[in-house]
Amino acid sequence: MKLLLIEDDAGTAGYVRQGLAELGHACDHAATGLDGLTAALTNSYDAIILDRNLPQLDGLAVLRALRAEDHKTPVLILSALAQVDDRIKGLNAGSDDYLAKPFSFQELIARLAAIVRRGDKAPAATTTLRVADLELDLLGRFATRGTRRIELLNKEFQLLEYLMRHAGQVVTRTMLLEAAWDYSFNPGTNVIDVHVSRLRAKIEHDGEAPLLHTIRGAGYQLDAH
Amino acid sequence: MRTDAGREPHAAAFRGALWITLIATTTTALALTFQHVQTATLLDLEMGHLIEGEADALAMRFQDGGTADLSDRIDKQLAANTRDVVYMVADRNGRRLAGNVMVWPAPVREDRVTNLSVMVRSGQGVQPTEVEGEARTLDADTRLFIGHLADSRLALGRKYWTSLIGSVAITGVLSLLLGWIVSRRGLSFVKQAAVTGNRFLAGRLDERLRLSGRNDEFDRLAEVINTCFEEIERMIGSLRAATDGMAHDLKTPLTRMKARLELAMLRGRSADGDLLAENANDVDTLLELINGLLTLARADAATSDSFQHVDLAAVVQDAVDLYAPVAEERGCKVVPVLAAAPMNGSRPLLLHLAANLIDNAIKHSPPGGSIIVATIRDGASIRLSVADGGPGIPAGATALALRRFGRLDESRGSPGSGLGLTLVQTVARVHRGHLSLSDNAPGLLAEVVFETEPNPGGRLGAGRPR
Repeated sequence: MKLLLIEDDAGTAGYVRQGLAELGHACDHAATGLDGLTAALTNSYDAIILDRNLPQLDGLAVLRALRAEDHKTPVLILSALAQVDDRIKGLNAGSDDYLAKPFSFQELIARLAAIVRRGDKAPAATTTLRVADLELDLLGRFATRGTRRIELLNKEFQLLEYLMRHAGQVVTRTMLLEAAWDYSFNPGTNVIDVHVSRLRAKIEHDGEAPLLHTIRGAGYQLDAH
Repeated sequence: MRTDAGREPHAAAFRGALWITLIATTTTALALTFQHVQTATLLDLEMGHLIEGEADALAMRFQDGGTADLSDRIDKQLAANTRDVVYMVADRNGRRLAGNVMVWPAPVREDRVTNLSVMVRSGQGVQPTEVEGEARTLDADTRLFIGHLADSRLALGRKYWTSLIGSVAITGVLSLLLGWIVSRRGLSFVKQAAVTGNRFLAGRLDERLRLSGRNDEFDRLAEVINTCFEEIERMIGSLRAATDGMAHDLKTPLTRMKARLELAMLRGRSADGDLLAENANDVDTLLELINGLLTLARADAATSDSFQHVDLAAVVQDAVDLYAPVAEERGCKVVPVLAAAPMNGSRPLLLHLAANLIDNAIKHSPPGGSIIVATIRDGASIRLSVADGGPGIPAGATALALRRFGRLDESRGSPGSGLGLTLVQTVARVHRGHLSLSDNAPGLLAEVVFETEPNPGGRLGAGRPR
């Protein structure tokens, strides 16, 4: 991925760039809102990581300017303001995701991958999702694995839909919580893990190939391998 | 706030006294004037009757016995001098035929009594005298004038002025004095409140206003002020407890991290996997704590203008969905009994509240136990209850359980930040609710009662577009 990081804190910027470079992503850095806006408009990026509190031009102003120019590059906002209303403000201004500081690097990578892919292909008006031999019927709200039909509770369906739409990507616990509950808070302990392990028990019976993998220290991944 | 102990402000009492004085003196002056006017009218009427009667009697004499008889009668009357009456009988040309008035008064009228100045002869000679008089035509050549000395009227007028000035002066002095006393008494409450407030500000947080027990407006005001004082005392108290708890909970992981890093430096190795992982764990603990505190601070500052219409039952259902599998993992069961409970509130905060209560119940529930989560709409209030069958909280420890960073085991070894129930309490309070913990025999019954508007979905909501 080719990324642009607009962040005024040198420490955070250095850490993010180093991490991205180690994972093989190229990352440009702008320290002010104005520089960031200029860079975003001159070069082409896969995604932009945008801090909210920036000198010269505030993060939301940069985002609005970009969207006013019909610039469609996915944007992830990074901010110390993490309350629900701040989040909604950011999403309303046209960001694709919102991540509160301090964040884990795994979370940042997972979310970047998700928004970049969302930009890749337009959400098709499909009624079934498929990963390997697992199929999810979006209208009937049930899944089938091979010939076996799997009944899903409402939240299980929402979790599985999100995992299948992001098949092959690492999905973090907070991403799942936001997807299924539309709340952004940390329920603590292992609440999401319990939900995922129940879902796993339903879709992976004995003798069936594992599909739902736990990625240590990051989250989960639905994949055929 | 600056206070000036040596200065006793009396401006308000003085203003009050002045107003009372103004009202009292104006009332006195008006009453006296009214009385005077009434008396003068009565006197006028009496005078009119007197003069008319005398004139009628004299006219009759004249008809019976002519001028001679009339003057004889007048002379007799003057000699008796019992009444302050003056007479004159004159011919057409104004020449005096009888009586003690020397010159015919030109402006005299026949139809009514008027004030006149006439020349009256008395023992001391002829003097101009103020009289009230009337004339009568007796025949073509004879006219009669009767007048009454206006002394009493003048005296009455003088009396009016002196009594007016006297009364106003007495009323003024008295009402100024009494008004001062009354105003001071009324303002003594204000003085007391100011003194108490100053002591409170000086740090004596247990200071409260005394209630008079008369249950009047001042008592109402005192109650409101006392409630404010209590709230401030409570907030300062919880702030102190919070800083104490925070000092411990923040410093412990930091100390551990510092020790580990120093150990690593001593070993001379730059990176040790386990050590870093442990540090990362401690950082996570710290972050969780700080997030908890921030959420708490935000909840504390939440105001009803950011609230929306929510169904508490739906929010609680979300929380139950979130935690039910966790409960099953631990071998217990969450049983929701949810009746629709519409109210105004913040969905994320209410979810947090429900989640914390359920999480708490799961942590303390024995295997095989049931956790009953219920919402009930009960008239003007909405009740959320979470009941578990765990060990409960010993009587007397509920206050500790509700305190910020308060944990029932002193070691702080158990999971959780100690902010859970504090957050529940805070969220309840900003939603006009109250958290109570009671014995579920066995177990804990946590109940939050929200006071909703008297008519939540009705009159207010009906006309407003959503």
